[in-house]
Amino acid sequence: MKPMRHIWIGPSAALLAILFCGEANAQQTPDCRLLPKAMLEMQTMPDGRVTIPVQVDGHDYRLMVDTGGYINTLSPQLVKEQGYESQRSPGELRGMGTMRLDHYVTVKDFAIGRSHGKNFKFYVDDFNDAFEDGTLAPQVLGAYDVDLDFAHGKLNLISPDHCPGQVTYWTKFSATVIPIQIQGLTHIRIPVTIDGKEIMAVVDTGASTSYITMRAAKRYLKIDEKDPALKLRGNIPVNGMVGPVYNYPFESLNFGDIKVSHPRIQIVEDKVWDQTDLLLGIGILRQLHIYIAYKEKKMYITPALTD
Amino acid sequence: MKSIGLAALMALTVAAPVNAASYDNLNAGIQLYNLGQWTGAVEQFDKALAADDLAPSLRFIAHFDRAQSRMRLSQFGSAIEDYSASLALRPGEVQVLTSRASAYAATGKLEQAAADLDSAIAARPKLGFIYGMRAALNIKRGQTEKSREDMKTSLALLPERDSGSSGIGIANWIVGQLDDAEKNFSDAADKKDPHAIYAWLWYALTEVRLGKAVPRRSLPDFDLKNWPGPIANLFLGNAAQDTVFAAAAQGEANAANGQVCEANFYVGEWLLHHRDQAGARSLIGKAASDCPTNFIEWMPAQMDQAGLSQ
Repeated sequence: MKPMRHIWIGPSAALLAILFCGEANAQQTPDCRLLPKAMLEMQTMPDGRVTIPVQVDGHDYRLMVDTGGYINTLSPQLVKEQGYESQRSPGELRGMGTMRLDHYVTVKDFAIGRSHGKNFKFYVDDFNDAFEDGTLAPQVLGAYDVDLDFAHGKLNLISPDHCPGQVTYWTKFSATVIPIQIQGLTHIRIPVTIDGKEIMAVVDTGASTSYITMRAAKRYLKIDEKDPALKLRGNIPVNGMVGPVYNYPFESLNFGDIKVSHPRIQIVEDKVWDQTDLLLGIGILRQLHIYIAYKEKKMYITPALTD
Repeated sequence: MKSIGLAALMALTVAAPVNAASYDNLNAGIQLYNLGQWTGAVEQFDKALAADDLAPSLRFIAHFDRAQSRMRLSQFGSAIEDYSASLALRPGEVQVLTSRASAYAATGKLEQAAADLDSAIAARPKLGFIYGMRAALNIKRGQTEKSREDMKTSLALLPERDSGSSGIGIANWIVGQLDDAEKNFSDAADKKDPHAIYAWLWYALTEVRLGKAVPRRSLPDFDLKNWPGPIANLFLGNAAQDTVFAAAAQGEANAANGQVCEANFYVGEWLLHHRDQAGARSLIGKAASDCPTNFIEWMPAQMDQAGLSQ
């Protein structure tokens, strides 16, 4: 997740739904079936995050799925390869670390599966990774239901117009249903329980690690810097800020009745995130099958592998 | 798109069922990999792959991450096997080809490394960093002119980033684009960075090579009593060569070896631009033979040594 400064994020998810999906279908199917818009092979990156295939002006690339992002981005390498002229944006954002996002390019034809978007704007970020050519944020993802099947390497983008609650096609058991809040136009916040205490968490598939601020650890879990179970990992950059990062032997993280045992959540300084207490990164999220219904404001969760 | 039930589609597309234990081992391996716990990561990937039931995209990353972990453990042979297994699942994956090239190079198999880099370039001909890797490899293969050509191509293809990068400056220096190198080093020397002193050393050498004076004004805030301060003092006319080499030999053995490599290189370059060819040839030759390949001085030393021996 990246903190905002001055926001200019272009069209909203609702507008993008019209612009992007093309074949807009505001009606649910009569028999409550789900309507897939794209069924994609996910590729797992070395740190566990995932990419999906896209086409940028007819060329194949991979974008990392970033539910914690504000805006869609492309790598400088892709921009150079495609010969795009970047333009200065009216405002600026901060990307990963301390990189300022203040330039964007316009892609004439951007495609995910069979869905095409015209004159799509992407900010130019400063990462360099041969497994990833950019990021896809809720600016696009939020126009759909997003079905993340990590264990089978599949990501489905599904029409949000379906019968309420009837989405858990992958299991014969009932899924845990969690209400979601959308923060800052894009971020998903959900209630979870760590070692028995409820905390609001941001769901961020763009983060390889999960973090809790010391502020939240003190407030909700009564853990402070003198806790003997706290182990200093070192002074490590997180979100562009170098400071002490601690390991702590958390017992459990619960999403409703789904339990993740011994979750790896690192404790960071308060300054790393102003408005976020707990960030759930891909290490934990990969252990689940997650269906995000942005429009319904619900998340459906089961263990990653279930009958 | 037709209104097709997702469950029906999924039934057609989902691969064979995954064993929960394999998938858990994979996730545990990735988390340990992210923490740099290489041995533990390898153990988890071993278990994840043993059941042979992960989806192909997950098998790919299990092999790749295990290869990377094994590289960190200096197990180059088994790392190459894992990279090869990844490539069997996803041929032409540039990151795997370049990683396997590094593993081959580490075991002295330079021609196999070159073949992998050639394949990577064929797959993504506009990726600048691959040409940079091949430039380094070509030096090891004794092909300095090919190396210079690759470095030129790399510079042309790399995205325009922050110009204050010493790495880009050194690449520009190697291919003779000294005006660009001058700007790179000048910007890098202005950064509040503990390595800015090295950028200043390069800046000073570039200015001298361009026939200009040593840039006293932009000397970073750095205690010149500490290494590599004695080299800066030499460039500023405040110390003699002997002082530099005496200071380089100080300290713990590994650090001293690195310092001696640096002293040989920078003093050698200094002599080269002050018309002492014999002294320069001797010192740059030592730098070329003794500097570790991961030192920024290694590649320029090889290039200049080749030039001096012609």
